[in-house]
Amino acid sequence: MHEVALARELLSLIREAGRAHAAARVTRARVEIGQLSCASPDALRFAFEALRVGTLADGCELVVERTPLRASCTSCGEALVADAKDPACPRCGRAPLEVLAGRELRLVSIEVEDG
Amino acid sequence: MHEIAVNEDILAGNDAAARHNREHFIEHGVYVVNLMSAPGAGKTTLLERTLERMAGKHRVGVIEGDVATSADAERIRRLGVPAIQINTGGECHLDARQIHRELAAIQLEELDLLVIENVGNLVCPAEFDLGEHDKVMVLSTTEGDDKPRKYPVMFHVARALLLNKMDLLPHVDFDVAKAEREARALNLDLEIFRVSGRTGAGMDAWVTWLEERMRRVKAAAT
Repeated sequence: MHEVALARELLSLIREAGRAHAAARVTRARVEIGQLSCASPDALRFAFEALRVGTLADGCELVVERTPLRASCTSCGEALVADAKDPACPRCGRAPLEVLAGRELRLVSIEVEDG
Repeated sequence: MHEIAVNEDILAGNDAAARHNREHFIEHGVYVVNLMSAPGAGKTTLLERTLERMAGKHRVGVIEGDVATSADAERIRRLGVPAIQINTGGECHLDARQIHRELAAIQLEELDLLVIENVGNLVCPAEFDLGEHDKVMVLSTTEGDDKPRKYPVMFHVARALLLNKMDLLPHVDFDVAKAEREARALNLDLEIFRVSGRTGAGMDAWVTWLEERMRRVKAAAT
């Protein structure tokens, strides 16, 4: 349940970006969470909805996109999208895989109402 | 209504604090380990056995992270090793800012090794960089050999894995080869040590590895 800590950090980034653009309100935030992150989108949303009350982001919708775990097979060199719970190369069936991407926890953009 | 691109890491604040911590550690030549596992895997016992082997040879400090109580720090102090206890009061992990706050009370120039024992949890601590050189995790044979598949992030971020409670292997259904293979599935370079905190088996190889890491960090600082 570290999503409360993540939501707190996320909210502060959103408020900072909103204030920098003199927004009256932040209505939507787009977030990427990689497949190889232990953050749960539902838990993040739950914590965010509790924390956003009374801030610039009150009512802000959180749009979460899960980004894939991209890897390459250390046996056959195949570039692939892997399942973190069952990491094996779809071509040769082997592992280890070298992780290239999938650990993202990123605030991509916000939608604002101008002040 | 319009959209504004931000593209910032949610953990940017933590990562900045971690970078700051890391600069301190590197500057003082202190090798720092972030020790992680599920509750009850044997982190503190392995740490005690490790510290006993280092007594008189290396200067070690410990930061203990727990939700509550200072029981673990007291165990470490009984060995004559300075220990600071952080109580997270409910948080399931340590973060870089908490470590940074404690650094003021630690004489880094008087240490060769700093061990940060994280809160017992196989999920959350994996996400937070503390500024350490290496993350080391402990998996015990009583927890089951399916843990790498269930908690892939933890096994991905670890530099070394201590497979603990090897003395209990005859009594548990734990497939060592399977656990090791799956622990390496997303971590090609993972160092694995089979150990027992209770009997001391396998501890020499682990301590030798730690000493080699310490030597490198010290050499880079001088």
